[in-house]
Amino acid sequence: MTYFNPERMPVLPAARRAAARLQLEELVARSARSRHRSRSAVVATAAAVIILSTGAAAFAVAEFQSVSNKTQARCYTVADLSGTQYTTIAAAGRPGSTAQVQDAVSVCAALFRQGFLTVGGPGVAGRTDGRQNNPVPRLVACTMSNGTAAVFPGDAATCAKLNLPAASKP
Amino acid sequence: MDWRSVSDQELWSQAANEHAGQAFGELFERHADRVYAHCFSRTGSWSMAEDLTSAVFLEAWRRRLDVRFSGDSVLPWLLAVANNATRNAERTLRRHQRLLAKLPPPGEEPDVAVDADMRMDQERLARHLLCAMGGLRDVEKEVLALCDWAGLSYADAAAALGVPEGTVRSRLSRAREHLRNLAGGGNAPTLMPDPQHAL
Repeated sequence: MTYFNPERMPVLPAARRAAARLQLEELVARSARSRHRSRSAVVATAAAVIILSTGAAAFAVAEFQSVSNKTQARCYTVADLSGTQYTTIAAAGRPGSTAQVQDAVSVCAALFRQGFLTVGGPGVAGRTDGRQNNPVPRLVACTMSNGTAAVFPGDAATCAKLNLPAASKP
Repeated sequence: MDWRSVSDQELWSQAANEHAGQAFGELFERHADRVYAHCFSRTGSWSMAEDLTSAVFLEAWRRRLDVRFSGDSVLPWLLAVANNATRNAERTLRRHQRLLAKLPPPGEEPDVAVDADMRMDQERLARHLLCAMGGLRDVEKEVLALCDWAGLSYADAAAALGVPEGTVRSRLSRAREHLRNLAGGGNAPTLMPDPQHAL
């Protein structure tokens, strides 16, 4: 049931629509140029770091870092940060509680169990077969650079392999 | 390239990976009206909905790595982004005010009388519904807006919110029950118009 029939709703005014579309198209195209600039900056920064850290490990990823941004978390289907094989969950647990990371693991586990996620899958499935006992891989929570939890199929060594701190102490 | 025959997923991929502006423009063209209607139903203001529609697509681009598709459609996720945008409407509009200021001001276009009447009726209905929903929790408002107002299926709403379909069903059931209780234990139609006569 819908209370506002989409067939009978007014449409976005034409002048506004045209201007907004153009603005978005320019924004997207412009982001390619700024990406190239930022890549150059990254290369320069990386070179500087290499020079400064000669002969020693200048920095290392901490082994453990608690989740500071608890509004969202990611459930990955593979232990790989570079792709888009994940889905984002919101309100993964109660803010301010240490149970938050555990909640993220539980929610991700539920998504695997209900078939919304499968190991190696492209992301969340729009539909499932309704089974509630799909295989759930061993999951581990790491902390992303923005402080949110990221849950991966893997074990205690997975976070370190991804250069991320674990979200909880072993 | 004729973008009109290309799927949402392919358009999104072209925009996000190849920075094809026209691909994102086509996505805007496809879904702007549904997003506009959704923003209106969450705010009760057509002029605010105009700004929020642009803001939703700007937010969607900012959060492009978080995109979720339902089947091939990105619309459910866009409506979920719209839910967040309208919940914090002032903050959302402030974040994008520099770009929004370059667009024609909202409400500038002359309306024919019929359209103007319809818009006023819908604003009255939306304010009535929003007032009734004031006592609901945010997650209840979101699922009501997606399923009962925007007409998404449980599966689409589940994909949009990133929660299992069962969670959508239970939240929606609780939200409807809660709304009935807020209406004084009566039936929902005392607060909401008969869907058969939806605007």
